[in-house]
Amino acid sequence: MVQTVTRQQELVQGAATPSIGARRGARRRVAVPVMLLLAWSMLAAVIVLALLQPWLGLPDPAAQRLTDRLQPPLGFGGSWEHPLGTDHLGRDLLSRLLAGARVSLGLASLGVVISLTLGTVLGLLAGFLRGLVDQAISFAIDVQLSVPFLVIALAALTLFGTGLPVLIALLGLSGWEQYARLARALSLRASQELYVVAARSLGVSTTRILWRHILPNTAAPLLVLATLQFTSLLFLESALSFLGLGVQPPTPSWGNMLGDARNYLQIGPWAVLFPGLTLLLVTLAVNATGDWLRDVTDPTLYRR
Amino acid sequence: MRDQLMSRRRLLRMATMGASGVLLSSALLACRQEASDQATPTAVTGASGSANTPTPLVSQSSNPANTPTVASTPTLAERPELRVGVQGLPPVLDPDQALSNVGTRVTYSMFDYLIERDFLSGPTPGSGFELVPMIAAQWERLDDVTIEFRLREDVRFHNGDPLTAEDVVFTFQRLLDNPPDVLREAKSYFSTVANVEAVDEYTVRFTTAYPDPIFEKRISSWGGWILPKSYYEQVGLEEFALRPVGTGPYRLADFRADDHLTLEAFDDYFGGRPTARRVTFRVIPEIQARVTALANGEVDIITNVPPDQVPILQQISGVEVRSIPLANCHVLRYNCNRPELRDKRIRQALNLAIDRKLLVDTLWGGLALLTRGYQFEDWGALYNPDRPFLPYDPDRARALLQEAGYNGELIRYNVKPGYYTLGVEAAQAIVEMWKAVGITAEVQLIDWADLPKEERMVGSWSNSNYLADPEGAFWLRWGKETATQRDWWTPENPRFNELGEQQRRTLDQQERYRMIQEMIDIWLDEAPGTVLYIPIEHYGVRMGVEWTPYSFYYMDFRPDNLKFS
Amino acid sequence: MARYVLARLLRALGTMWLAVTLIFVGLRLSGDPAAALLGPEADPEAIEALRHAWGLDQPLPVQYARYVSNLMQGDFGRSLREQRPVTDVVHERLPATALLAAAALALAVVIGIPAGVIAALHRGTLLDRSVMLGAMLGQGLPNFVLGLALILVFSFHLGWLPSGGLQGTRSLILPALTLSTYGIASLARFTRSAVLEVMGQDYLRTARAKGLPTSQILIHHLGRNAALTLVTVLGLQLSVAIAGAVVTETVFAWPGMGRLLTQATELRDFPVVQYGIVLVVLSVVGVNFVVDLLYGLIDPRIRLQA
Repeated sequence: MVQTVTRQQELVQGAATPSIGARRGARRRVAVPVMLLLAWSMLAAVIVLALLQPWLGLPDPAAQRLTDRLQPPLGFGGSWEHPLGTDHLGRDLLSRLLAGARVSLGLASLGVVISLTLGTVLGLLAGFLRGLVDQAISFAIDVQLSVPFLVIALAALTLFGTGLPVLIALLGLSGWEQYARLARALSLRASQELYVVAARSLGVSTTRILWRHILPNTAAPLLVLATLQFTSLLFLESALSFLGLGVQPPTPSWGNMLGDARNYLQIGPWAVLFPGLTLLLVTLAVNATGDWLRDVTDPTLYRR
Repeated sequence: MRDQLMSRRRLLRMATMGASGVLLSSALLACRQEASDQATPTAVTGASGSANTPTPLVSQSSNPANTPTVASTPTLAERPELRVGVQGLPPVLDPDQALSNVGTRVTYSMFDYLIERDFLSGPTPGSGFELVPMIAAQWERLDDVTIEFRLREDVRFHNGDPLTAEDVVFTFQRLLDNPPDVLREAKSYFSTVANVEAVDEYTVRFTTAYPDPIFEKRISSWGGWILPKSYYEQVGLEEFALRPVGTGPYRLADFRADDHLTLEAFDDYFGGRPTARRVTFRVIPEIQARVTALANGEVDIITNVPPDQVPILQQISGVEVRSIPLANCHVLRYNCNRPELRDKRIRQALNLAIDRKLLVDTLWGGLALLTRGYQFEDWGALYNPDRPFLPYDPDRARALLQEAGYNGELIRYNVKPGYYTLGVEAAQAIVEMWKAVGITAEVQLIDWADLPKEERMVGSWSNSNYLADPEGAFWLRWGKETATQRDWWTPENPRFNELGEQQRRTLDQQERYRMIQEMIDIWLDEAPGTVLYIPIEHYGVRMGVEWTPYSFYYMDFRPDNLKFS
Repeated sequence: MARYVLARLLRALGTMWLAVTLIFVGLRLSGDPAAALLGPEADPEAIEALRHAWGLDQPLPVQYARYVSNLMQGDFGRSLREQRPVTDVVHERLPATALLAAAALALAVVIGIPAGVIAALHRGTLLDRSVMLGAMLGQGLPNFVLGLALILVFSFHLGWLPSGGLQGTRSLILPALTLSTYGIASLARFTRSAVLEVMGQDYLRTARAKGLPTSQILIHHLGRNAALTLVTVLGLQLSVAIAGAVVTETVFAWPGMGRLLTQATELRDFPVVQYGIVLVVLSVVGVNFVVDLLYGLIDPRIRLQA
């Protein structure tokens, strides 16, 4: 099951192991496509605006005006007061979009960081130390793989409530096994390299070996995986919100904005359109970055 | 080389999964086809093996000539099928267990009462409250505590058994004599009954523990459905809940909880031949999908249409919206045991700060009704049309808060998303209104039922007026020995409970009127909660289906309320 | 060999046991089904009586012991809500979910792989870029948004397809499409990478230099690589299918297990949730076990390595 990973699997997970030789001293100039630069600037703009939202002079994201329900955006009968229109409770969509960006992107980022750290540490240890540690960690990975995560999430949310800490913990726990598997395989391979074996026999400590020698070579594929997981966490949050268990109102998140607005697709499509479009663009940008990272870290891919 | 070895393993995995996937899905497809061809999966009632001819269940009826007469098949095929798109279905079909909106909606056409509340009577068809004979041909009060019913002699159950006084006696004894826990609620609606007995084959006599002014109304409502004694005793509680038998115009054909319920016409119905050959309730949880199903002609009626969707439905050709105010009100209930809410002035302030008219106009498009105190118009003679509407007075609210020494303590409003129509929206709006008068408040999307009692503060709730009488909701939900007085509120003024006890034993309408009105005054003063509004229920209906919605959750498909043109 | 089989078997059983236990404990800590069934306003005595009837008032270890011993005898309990055997309740809904998952998988394979191959073979052209853009879009929206949009367009406005429910083959199209979108996109992208990877290999150049036509080489190597990619995405699809199926099934009123499990969790119908999870875990673990077994049979080195 978890014992091995093929090159194919690495490919599938958006990563490829750079050969040690290519890594050392390889400081090639990397060409960044224009589209990607555009994508990054868009991402940066979203993040900056999201962070600045409280000071932009926009209406309070939680402020309802029942008389202003489902106002259309500017250009379709709307006004500058609500440039993107309002939702079904009269709340300004633009400020909710930006505030929601903080929440959704923040949650996804935290989730990725937790997953990444947890999975990498466990995977590296499993691959390097082998034996009982490996058995235990592989077993944990199998269990995590076998059980349908969403149902667990539902049970957990019903059990512990829907506070942000619980949500973060859940998102963090939802994907660690992917990193662990990859890190384990890469660590397995790397620990068979001659210089690592030599270091071990010389008595260099495990931590030092992992940190100085193995981790740098595994970082790139893991990071690529992280970009993929980032977007799936965004979607997980929105699925939970759809089912009523995600971020709770009045705190906006892209997930619960979409979930709430889905009943108004016909009378107020902008309430779905704007969060949906932004989510789509962010996902595209992040995925494109992941692809580019993968292409860049695996030189073999572009040989003809 | 290692790569290739590993790839073989992966190949094997793929092959196994792929092969099993293909085999599984083709098997499933085959089964599915077969199943839908046969249309008789597990939950089919014994009373119908095929489309029409009922196989009489073995019954120990005393009548030897127990052969059911069935209407001939050709006319059945001419009648249309009615399809209803609903938001949900009850898990079981025992009418006394399915005492919910989703439950009574579908069981209403499967069972009958002794007395029927004629919703079609009166000036507003659908909201009527006149009582007319149903299974009972006539009834009279022999004295203050005794009511005698004379039954029709032509009523049959779906399995062919004729209905006699024994069945009536059995129905109520099931509720009153140490009922199983799931029937406790139904029992509570007949708490005034001391005894029920059969005088002869078609005469039943009830004795109440004390004079009950509304006994006939009770008989015509929840818990009053007459059930078959023989069949029930054969199959037992659990089996009956899955394969029930009643006397109504439609009987069970197929039931898959959370997916569909199919009823077929029972042509032996004493109230006339059913006008549809089949009624199917299909579960469609998403409102967009329900609307689409109606627009496409996949269903003929859809339920639970929120006000926002009404304009969309109105634009679809061949479809119209039928609306009716429900005998139900959305209310708030306050946990008066909490320090934040102990002072009634604070509670009064909470009530005064709510602009109900604004809620109605903006959330409901004006399609909800405000109430005069806690009253329903179908109380009839007990309704006071001159009582003022619930006031909106933010200034007075602020003054009261000051008087009471309110210090910014957090007030939490609990509402369960998706449960009450527009419940969350109303909660969010109301919390903003409270903030506007200086109350620190927040919405919490956890059902108050999931919180321990001490933590509940403001709970969103609804009261269904299941009887056209204050006993139907007001006393039933706020009275002595209710969960409200147990967990949320102990009346400061003992008069409330005294009056409550008295009014339910007083046969004099005038007296009862005075008592009820005084009780309402106390309730408004102590403010253990408040009424928000009476929601209007909207149905989307295909034109050509002549069906009138009722002011309660029942969907009545009896021949006088369902015609096709 | 026997040791290998035993090790694998123990591993599989261990996984199952741990998963089931975690669910068991978690569910029981999460709330009271008796209150959920009778309503919060019910008599506390009635609630207590029901809890007693269901054995929920026992201490947790006792409940667990009873559960396990029942499992051994094949008794999975009765649905608290529907009052009939859990196996009936769940098995009724299995076919619908399996059908949807199979259809989504088929779509992913039938559309995704060829798309990826075409994109790789025409790398750099407009065709390639369009396919990749399509794939990215497919991975860019949450399931329910896509599903509802599809309903609005194809069912409401165009009236071509039914709005949901399991009503014959046509009603399968929209839900399967919604569920498979992510899979199609993933598969297309990964197939493309795989093909590109193969095309960049040295042995390809060698083979071509030897005179073999490119197509033949590609098919030979692509075949294996596509299978591998397929398998991995299959794994991804499985977990996405379970999670995505919940959402898709709700949007399309699909009478499947996903919706059942969600509702059962919300209503605290423990026996149903437990059994549902057991089934899912069983299928995943089962397949893995069988494959490991077969593979151990074929290649002795793997057995020894274990």
